[in-house]
Amino acid sequence: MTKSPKTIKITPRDPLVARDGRPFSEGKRMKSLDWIRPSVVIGSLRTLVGKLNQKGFNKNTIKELKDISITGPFPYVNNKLYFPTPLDMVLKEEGTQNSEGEKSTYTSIHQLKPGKYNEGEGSTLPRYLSPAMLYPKEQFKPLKRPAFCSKNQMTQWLLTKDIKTSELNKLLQYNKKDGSFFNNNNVINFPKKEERIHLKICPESGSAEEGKLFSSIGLDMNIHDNNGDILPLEMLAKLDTDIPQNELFKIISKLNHIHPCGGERRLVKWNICNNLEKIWECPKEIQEAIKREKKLRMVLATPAIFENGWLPGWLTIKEEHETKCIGTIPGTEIEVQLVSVVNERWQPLSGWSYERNKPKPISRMVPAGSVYFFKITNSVSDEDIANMWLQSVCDDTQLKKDGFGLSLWGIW
Amino acid sequence: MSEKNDKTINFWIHALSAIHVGTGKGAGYIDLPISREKVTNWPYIPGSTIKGVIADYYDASDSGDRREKDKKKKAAFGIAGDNNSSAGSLVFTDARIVCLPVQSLYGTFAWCTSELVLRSLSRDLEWGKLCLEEEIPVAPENKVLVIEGSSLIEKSNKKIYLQELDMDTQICEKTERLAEKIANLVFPDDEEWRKKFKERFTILPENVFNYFSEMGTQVEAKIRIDPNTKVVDKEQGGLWYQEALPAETILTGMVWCDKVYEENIQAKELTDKYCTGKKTIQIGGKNTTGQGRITLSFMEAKNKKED
Repeated sequence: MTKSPKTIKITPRDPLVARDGRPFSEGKRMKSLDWIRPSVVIGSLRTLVGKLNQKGFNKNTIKELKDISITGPFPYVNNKLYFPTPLDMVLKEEGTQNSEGEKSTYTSIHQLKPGKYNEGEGSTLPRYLSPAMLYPKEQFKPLKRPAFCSKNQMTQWLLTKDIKTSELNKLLQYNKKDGSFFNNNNVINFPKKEERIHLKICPESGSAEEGKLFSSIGLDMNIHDNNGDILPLEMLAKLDTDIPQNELFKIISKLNHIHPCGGERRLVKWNICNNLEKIWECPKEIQEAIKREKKLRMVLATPAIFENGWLPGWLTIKEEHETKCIGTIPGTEIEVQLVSVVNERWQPLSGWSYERNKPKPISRMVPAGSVYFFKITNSVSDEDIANMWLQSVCDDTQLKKDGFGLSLWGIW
Repeated sequence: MSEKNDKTINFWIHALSAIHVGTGKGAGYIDLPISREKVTNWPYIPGSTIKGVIADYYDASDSGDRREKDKKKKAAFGIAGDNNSSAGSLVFTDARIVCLPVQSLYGTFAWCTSELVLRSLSRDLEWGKLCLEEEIPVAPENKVLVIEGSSLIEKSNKKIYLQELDMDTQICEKTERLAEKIANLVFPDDEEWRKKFKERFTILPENVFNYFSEMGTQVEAKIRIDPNTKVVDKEQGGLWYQEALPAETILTGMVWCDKVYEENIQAKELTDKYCTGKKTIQIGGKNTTGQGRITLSFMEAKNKKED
């Protein structure tokens, strides 16, 4: 492995079209994803690099291009990196009243973590899984989570064992009016969606052609900060290769180009940054906490595709009556036992293969932000912990390179 | 990528009449509003609109066999369809606002902009390898920046009167240099217009610019007259309001030419043919009522750095 990764900043010029697999044409409305898939971004970048190579797309070139791996893309706003908000974070709206009777609201954070059934309770979960319970125990309708947390806030959350002792509650202020969050820019929402109606003008008549009406949706890559100022929402990703003599990877080190990304060929600037390498490192306090504790928490920073649906292929169900699910974390020697999972409904992934000139089969993805709780059953080294931060936990090698299943780690 | 294989060219739009590039039906009090960016709420012209009118200008609309018959048209604009479709190599971005004309008590109208608009312009020019090469000044709260000798200022109290707002002014050298630079880009061959532009150029505080971009556009009330009775058509002649970008608005965008897959055609050939010079062209809706007349000028960096 070269281990000379490059950091790339991706700046969209116009709203980015992040389509799902559904067809759209005359009379049909386009559907937009909330955030672009990593495969779309690395696909466009590989195409750009292939064009810059100017030797055509032969078998060897395609092999080298497909070997270029991506970590990201993650939102990058005002020099801060953001990760998807973990699903074990549950928000509650609280109200207070001061002595003059004025009401105000704030947001408190609850957490989901492995718990036990009370007597007489049960579920259809596999026997090796404990239910994820809400702490502190309370009944309420959760608020919608912000889409992304800053790296600093994510680090604090990953170090949180018991929400009662945490200072996190003070970090969020919920704006009920527009559903946005303000907390010194530690969280941001998904980009706003902009819908456009397109029609076709007939050159002979000068009027709109009958039936040639369709809509498209783009993600407006600008956001408002706390002060109401508008900031560009850029994306940051890390690129690497496993082939030591990958000639095409050398092109990346000087990349400062324009190339479309996503649907409708909206233009994006691809710019290598040489001073942001540290942004990808695992925070020291997390490394120390994981070494100290035996309870490990994995948060998916990008959607993951596993051999067994939501269950990674590197975990095996053992023993009679399926009471244990154990495995070794990919790229490390850390042995773990799965305790509980917090995830959401699967998301579809499709795409167009330029290599085969046909659509890719649809895969089911575990959503980004899903959380897996483990117990560590052996000893762990510093190197292992540093290595597993933002590494892919997918089972398929190409999916790993395409940026799926990137993992963040903490304790519980 | 070598210059043979990809190319970026900036373009400028100067509205000679009001422009109505609409969104269909509006939900507010304006029945036919113009397109606006989602976050900034500033007016813009979609890239697909610009591509459409350029294709039409060169008789290359995606209709009949115009593109199939001509290799360059096919390479530049592409062909839609299920079987033999191919993407065009020319990619047009949206045209973003640079200067919005606002009615002024002195100087007739002001070409208004803001720091954020200029930052966005600076980024766009950099993409096209042009450069503003000037520091962008920020208008202090409740003051607008103008140049020495501005025709917008009331001489005794040094105030500016834009629509219903009156504000204090501050003469700023950086603003003057920026005005000069933008004037050279928008009106490269017209010294008189360059002078008029600079005299009317002003940088507004962000919230004031946002106010004018929302409330300072042209809104017209329309009715339909029954040709027989010569009064309002009772069936279909209802009152409606339509919005337009006012004449003299200045917008900018860029066109990027991708690798050309058509044999023996280089990117430069396509940009030299379709993205060059200055054209008077019609864009958007309501053209039969005189709307949408613009000049569209393409501008390539003279000292283009080799990639």
